[in-house]
Amino acid sequence: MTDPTLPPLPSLPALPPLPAMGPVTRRVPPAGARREWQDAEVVAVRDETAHARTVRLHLPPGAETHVPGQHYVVRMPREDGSWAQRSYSAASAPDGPAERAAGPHVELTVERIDDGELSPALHGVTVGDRLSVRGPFGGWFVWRGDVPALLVGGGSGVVPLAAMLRHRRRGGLATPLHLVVSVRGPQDLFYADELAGAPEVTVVHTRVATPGSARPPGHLSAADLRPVLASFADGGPTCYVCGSTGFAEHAGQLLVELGVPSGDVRVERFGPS
Amino acid sequence: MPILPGRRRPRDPRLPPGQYDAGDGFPVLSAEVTPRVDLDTWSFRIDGLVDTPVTWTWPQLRALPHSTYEGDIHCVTTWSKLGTSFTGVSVDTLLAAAGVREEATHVVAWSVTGYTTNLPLEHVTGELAWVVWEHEGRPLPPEHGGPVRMLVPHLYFWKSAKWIGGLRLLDHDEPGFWETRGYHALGDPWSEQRYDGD
Repeated sequence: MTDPTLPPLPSLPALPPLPAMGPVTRRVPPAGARREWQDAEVVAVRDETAHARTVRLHLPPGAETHVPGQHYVVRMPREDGSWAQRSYSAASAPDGPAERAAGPHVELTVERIDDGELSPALHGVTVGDRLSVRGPFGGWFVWRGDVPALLVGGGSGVVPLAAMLRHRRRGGLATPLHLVVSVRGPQDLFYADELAGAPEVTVVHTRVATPGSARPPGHLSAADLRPVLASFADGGPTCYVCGSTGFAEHAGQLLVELGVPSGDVRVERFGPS
Repeated sequence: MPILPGRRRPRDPRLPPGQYDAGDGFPVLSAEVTPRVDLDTWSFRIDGLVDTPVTWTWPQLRALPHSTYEGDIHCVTTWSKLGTSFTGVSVDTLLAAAGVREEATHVVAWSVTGYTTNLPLEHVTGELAWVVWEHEGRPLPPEHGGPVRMLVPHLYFWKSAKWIGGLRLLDHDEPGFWETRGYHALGDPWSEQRYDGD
């Protein structure tokens, strides 16, 4: 801490400002703000595809609700006393104040990695099981419903974007939003009953097209994104790109090549965890 | 609560708590679009509380004495990469050229994308930090922060800013991009300092 009685340092005011990515929306409290592990109850499970399952959790009363785009850390004990932990994005819209008092709910969609450690075990949980979770975390890849948003997801990268879309629907928000989701084929689309055919959703198939579809299967292209971008009126949207490293690099570069300022693109890459 | 079986293999002592061995993999995690950095116009600058602010062009940086870090790196998302290597110039060498003023206590490392991260000065001096351009003998790829990134391997890897543009020395701590968005101010993997207050 600088001694206030000292004269100001001569060189600092002359420095150019450092660059920044977006405004700082939150300052860390000096004492920190540790989020503790919480005991959550599994209240529902449901299959999304042959490889992905959603686990609905009930958090303790008073627990913080997430902002769409945030993630939770789930841990499970091993027989040897150590813990395995992984992060999973929230798929559900945040609960309102009424539900929050009795304990908010959050849905995590877990893609099964056959040689993974946590995901096969999470596919085995049943209603009534208890899980240890921590969160919500993340302050960048979040959408509060206040700015026009173009969401671009690949495969399981749709999960945090679904939370944004569901938040907009649940709240009846008028903020423009469009979701483009790229999957191998119709069988691989998470939340298909909510997404397929919806006016604010574009589904791109890379390997297997829907019968009768005019678009041949193929990777996400500028031709897929251009009309969606054009549908946003003045200003242009904040873009949220989520998927594997390969997908995120590809989609991010497409958006920049289409004229989106790189500062308007937020990216979340899924590692192989 | 479901219980996982114990590990199939004994735990590698190089792994900090809560981390797993990513093996040959090198996952990519960054919050922004990978920029295309042009080395003909790129430069690296040290400014703030220094005797003489210094800017190096790419050829000037490459002309400095190199050194190679061989060891491990740890990402807050729980992967670690063991026994890897990076080549570049030690931050000690760069700071010596600029001359650190007595009142400096912290640095902000900043990237051409606008990404920033804060580091106590004692965590980037004493052969703890580098500015690197090679990974395992090859040019650092853009998605991993190439052509030039920071390397602070004893802290979680978000401190090793990709696409580095410079270091600014300050007389106070100035939390950076992730540190103002829920992540720990220091990020020591051996103390599992992942999030605020850990």
